[in-house]
Amino acid sequence: MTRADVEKVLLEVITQIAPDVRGTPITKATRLREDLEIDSFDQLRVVTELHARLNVDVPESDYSHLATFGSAVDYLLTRLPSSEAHAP
Amino acid sequence: MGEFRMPSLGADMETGTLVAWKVKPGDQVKRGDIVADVETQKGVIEVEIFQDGTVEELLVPTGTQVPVGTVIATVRGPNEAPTKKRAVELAPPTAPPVTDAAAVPPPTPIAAAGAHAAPSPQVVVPAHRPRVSPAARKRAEVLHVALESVVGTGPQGAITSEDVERAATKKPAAAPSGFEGMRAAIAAAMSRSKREIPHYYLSTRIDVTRLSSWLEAENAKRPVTERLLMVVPLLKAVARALTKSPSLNGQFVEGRFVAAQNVNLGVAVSLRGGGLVAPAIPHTESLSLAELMTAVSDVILRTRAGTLRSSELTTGTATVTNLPEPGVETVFGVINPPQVAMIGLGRVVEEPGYVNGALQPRKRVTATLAADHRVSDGHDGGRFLGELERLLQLPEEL
Repeated sequence: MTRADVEKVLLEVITQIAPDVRGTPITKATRLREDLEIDSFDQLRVVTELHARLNVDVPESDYSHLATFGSAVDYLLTRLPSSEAHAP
Repeated sequence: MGEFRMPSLGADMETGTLVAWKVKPGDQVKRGDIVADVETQKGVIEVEIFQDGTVEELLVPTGTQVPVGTVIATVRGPNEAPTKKRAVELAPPTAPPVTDAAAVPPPTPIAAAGAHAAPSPQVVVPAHRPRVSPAARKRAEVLHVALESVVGTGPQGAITSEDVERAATKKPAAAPSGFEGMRAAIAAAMSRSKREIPHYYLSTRIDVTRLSSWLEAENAKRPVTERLLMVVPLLKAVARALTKSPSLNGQFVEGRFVAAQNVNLGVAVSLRGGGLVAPAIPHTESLSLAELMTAVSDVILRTRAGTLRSSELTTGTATVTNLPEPGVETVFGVINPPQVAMIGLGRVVEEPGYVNGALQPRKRVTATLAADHRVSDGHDGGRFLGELERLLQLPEEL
């Protein structure tokens, strides 16, 4: 899975959970909580959906990696099942 | 013969529009069944019935806006014989709009616990049921055009989409709906609260260091689909503390307070794009944390999807507003009438604190209470916050 694939999945998940962000320009620096108003409830839905789609389990202690769109993609790339290095 | 009335789905609601009937004459209904969809300023609500029986007659056609308290259907009790059709009929098409009290009985309280009907001076039952094509009806909803006001030019005077379009360009939008409607609904309820309820406010900072660690450990053990949000143990503790403070848990209806037997805790849910609804979770105090997490998720999703049930908007006994977002430490709540208490929870703050004389990093949350001085005093409120603090120190027992 390439970076572009992960970006696409994350964008799909975010727009599924927060449909109103459609049309908002999203860059690496976009903050999920502050800029897209992903609250703790939505964040848990994002994490649940990422688990379903990418088979990546994001433990609570790693939630800080999901602060921005860019940091979330970086983090997910390291956690993909194909790159087993950090898998639990 | 039971009369089923347009319910009041909030302190502010004066009228509701019947969007769809979910039953037809002859259908068996049980208490709690959803019988109709009603559009309010807070979106479309699934309205439940509060008696068992057989639907006798539907008195209000879909698409009609009627005042709260209007009889919209009749229901025959389980042992009642069918009766002849009711004499109350809508006026013939040529008659002027119905404005006398006879056709629309004065609103009386419905059977729902605490629900109450607000009298409305305005009677908006249409003189006749207009013939409307489904497409035109949809268009009218989109454009917020009241079908009663549209002149039909189709076959037999039926209203067509073009008629609706024409009516929409002629007049400004009728009742505010969508975001404006939501603002109006909040404004009405909160104005009433500030006008009628002598609020008093209490605040305390509660140490949640143990609760946070317990929750972290608990969630580390759980698969992602079963994780608990911090708000869940907080809500459970509030509900349990409320069971010991009857003067904070109930509804103030028709000049007197009625304490509730159980806690139907309202949860303020902010809508993406603006607005706020506070549906209640029945029997919050008796749900396990896992059950409460499921209930909270369900109610948040349905609030945002606009598929709440009438009982969820009318049976709340107290409400929590939880603002864990960065920036909010203390919530100064406004009570959601007819309730008498609003509990506010801010974000978790990390700060130094003393434990047995030693300085340590601690996590704290500021819990506030806005309560109704007609019903309780600061002493009662203080005991409630004390009990809440005590419960939150024992998260494994929640």
